[in-house]
Amino acid sequence: MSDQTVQPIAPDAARLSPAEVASLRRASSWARTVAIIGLAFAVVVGLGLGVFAATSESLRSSALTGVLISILAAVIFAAVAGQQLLGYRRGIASFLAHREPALPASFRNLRTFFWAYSIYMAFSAAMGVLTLLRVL
Amino acid sequence: MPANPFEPPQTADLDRSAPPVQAPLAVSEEALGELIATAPAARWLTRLISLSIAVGLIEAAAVMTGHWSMGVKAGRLLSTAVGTGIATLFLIVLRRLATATERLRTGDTGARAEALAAQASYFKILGILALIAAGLLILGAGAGYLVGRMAAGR
Repeated sequence: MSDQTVQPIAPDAARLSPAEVASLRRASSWARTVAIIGLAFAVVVGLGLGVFAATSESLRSSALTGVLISILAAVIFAAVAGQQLLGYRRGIASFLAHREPALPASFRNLRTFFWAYSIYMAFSAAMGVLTLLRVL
Repeated sequence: MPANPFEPPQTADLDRSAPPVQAPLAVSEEALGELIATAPAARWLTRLISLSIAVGLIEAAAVMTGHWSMGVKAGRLLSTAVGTGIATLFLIVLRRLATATERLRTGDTGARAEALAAQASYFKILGILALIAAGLLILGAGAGYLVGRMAAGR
């Protein structure tokens, strides 16, 4: 990955306890599951959305436009999240297996994932407010 | 006795695969800094999840008091209850993560284990929910396909 920096482990680095190593392993394993499901969702639903958008003539005037925008946002988020989580998982695996200094890049991936999730949540909340205004 | 008597004598390091690295696992200052830097993002995410829960509850209340059919009301109630429950789970774990990383910022190195455990819990919950959601999506797609075929065959 391009944002991975190779840095020597600092001499005063703190050693990880077995419980911390187990936590990292668990997080990495589950992150891979989430990433694979997220990317599969992005590909399948993205293709479906693309086919629907290409074949539907009355898309702009359709009442479904709001729903389609929400699905598009979910697809974009799933793709970004999947990519970041794969980077997170790869960094931890590389750190645990080969003692490579990939942990900072891994945590950077986690941070980017959280920001992407925040943007998606803000978008979802905004769409929720719009729906609420329509309901009221 | 080796299978090939003419093969050169094996040396421990050169002729075998690399032995597993035995060096202790340690977190560098840079990694710790990056872990601490996730705190604001996690904190913002908890705020937005709280906002999302509030919007969902207001929306559900509006549907309940509106002129909607019982089916719509029941569906809305169920989806809001499930969504709020899931969001609350995430909220608890993310708050744990944010609090632990903020404690790390103040120099409390004992909070590192808590932050890593919270990360693991977060991804475990996310993973289980993603598996359930994927299963439901596949079931839904299969059911939709079958219904479509039955409608076409009629």
